[in-house]
Amino acid sequence: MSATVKPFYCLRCTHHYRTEYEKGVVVERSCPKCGSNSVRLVPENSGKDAATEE
Amino acid sequence: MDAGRHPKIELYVDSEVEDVTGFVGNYQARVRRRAQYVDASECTACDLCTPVCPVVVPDEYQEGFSSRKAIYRAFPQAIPASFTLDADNCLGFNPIACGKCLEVCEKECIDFDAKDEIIDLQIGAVVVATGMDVYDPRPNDEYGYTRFTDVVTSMEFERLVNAGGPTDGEIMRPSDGRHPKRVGFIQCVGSRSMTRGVPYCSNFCCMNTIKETLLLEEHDPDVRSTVFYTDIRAFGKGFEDLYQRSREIGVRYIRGLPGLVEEDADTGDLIVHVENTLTGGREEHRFDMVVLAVGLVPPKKTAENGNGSGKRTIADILSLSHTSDGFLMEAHPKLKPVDAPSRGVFFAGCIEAPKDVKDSVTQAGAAAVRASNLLTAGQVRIEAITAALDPDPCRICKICAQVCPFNAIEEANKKENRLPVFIEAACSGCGTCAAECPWDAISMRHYTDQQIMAQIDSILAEDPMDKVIAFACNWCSYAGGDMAGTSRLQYPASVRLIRTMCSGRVDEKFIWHAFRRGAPLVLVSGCHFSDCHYIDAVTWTQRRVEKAWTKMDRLGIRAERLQLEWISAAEGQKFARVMRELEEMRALVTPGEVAEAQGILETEIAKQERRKNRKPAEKAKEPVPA
Repeated sequence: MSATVKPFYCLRCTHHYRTEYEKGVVVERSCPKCGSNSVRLVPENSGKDAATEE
Repeated sequence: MDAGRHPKIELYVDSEVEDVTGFVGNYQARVRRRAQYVDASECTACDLCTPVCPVVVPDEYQEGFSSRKAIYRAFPQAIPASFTLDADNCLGFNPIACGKCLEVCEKECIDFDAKDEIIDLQIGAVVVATGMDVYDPRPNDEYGYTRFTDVVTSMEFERLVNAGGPTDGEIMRPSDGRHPKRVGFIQCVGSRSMTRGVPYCSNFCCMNTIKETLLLEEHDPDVRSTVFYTDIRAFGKGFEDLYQRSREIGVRYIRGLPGLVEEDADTGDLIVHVENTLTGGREEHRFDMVVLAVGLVPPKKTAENGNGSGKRTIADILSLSHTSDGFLMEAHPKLKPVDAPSRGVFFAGCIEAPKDVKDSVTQAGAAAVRASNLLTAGQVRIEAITAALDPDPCRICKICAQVCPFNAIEEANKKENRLPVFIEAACSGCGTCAAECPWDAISMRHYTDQQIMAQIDSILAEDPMDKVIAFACNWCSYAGGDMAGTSRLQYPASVRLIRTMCSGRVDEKFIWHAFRRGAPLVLVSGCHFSDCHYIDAVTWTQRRVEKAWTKMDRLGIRAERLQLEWISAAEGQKFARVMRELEEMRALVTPGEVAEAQGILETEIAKQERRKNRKPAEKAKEPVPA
């Protein structure tokens, strides 16, 4: 499966950003702003998007 | 050569390990021995075959400075001491296109019909010693490796200066065969670079260059050598003496890496442009030959994940993990530097990290002794922290076998009602199976659910709103806390650590239990992915925390109250910073939301308990809980 760019957000500093994501592949992620690893893929039904909140 | 003659060593040359199953003391290896077209036991290396072979190809051993035939001897000291046939370059033997070697071989030891052979071996221990690759300097175009014939790598120079090399040790410029009188050495090509090459120091290059300058002086006292360096790292026994000797014979050391190498079209001189960082001045130096001290990189064929060949690498076969630089990870950098995380597997040489000959020999000796100790003991002593199965609640869902990083659980069979079998000798005690088991059928000795729950209860017995529960793995995060402590770094006392061997042990129910007992904030912390001491157990931690965040969304609990952090043993400062940030977050959690979450979780956990306590017949029909 190829990687696609998906919205993520940081549960530490609330920073929203987009980065590559490949379903089923677990990689170490860190927030580009604060460096925290509490980074989460924006849930699809959340209505939030990195493009609008950056 | 000693190994080739040793009565207790059996060599399988030109062979490939295709699979290894089993566990310490009881490994089964499947080895593919490629077709040996020359019978090594018959061949006397009489060398009648090579003169008649019409194929001429570059000699890899001589770095392409000379050529060889399709039937050849790899190098003078090759074991076995026989010729070999390069099937890829031979004109063809099915049908026979040439067959001249066959005609002249008096011993009749050439067999064009030979086939690959599969060998099954029963072995007790494995030593991985698959070496390293050399950095390819082509991306560093400023040094002109692809443009100028007289810019060579240190490996190529080694062949030129070697008595067994293509020039019999006579140092000649590749372009015109003249003896160079001015030789420049550029250090750290591909090493210690964050942009091109690798970020680490390749360990051996400084001393190799110093050795080459001394050899050059021995060959021709009129040669003037210049070394461009970042730092000279001469830290081994006798290395500083060698460095001083090199300076005493007149080798110039200029601190600064060149920005450009050009060629003078009239004279053929190589012009090196460099900023001397000690004087601050820009300098130009002319040379007859430039040597690039290239670094070491992990061997692509054996270490890298997804090496592109479609074949499983040794790392895949033996379930070995990589460090961030791509070399294979040892069980412990200080206490078990030659052991792999999987028991009965050991490392020797550069597969573990770049090292010189002396360190490789030292590590190889240590690995051999470790393996020998294991085999002669006849039994294995292991830590008592292993997983144990309670057969009653087990529903044979097989999840435990799928998540075990060490393949220590023999897969169960639901149709035959065969429960999973835990191989204690292979279990390293990460606890991932116990955390992932949806039926609570697995317990970890010394880190049982009850023990961890009791710690949570104890921490939150008084003033739970003032506490942060932090699960920390033994090897990295907890050690990071130690580092913060020994470095006298301050972090808030509200953070209470619960140590587990691996973050993979942190069961989702520990998190819910902490929230149910009123914890405002929970942290799960472990090793960075590349440092995980349990191969890939840490990836299961991340999956589990992500799943918990989703569940928190569904239940209406703020996902921010569950934090995830990877902290290494060296990251004391990060540990202290994260703890300070958590304290700030804790202060923002209101008693109202904690109480609300407690109520939600009481209902949810009661529901789960009811589901688990149903009769086995009902459970059997039930799918695995999400």
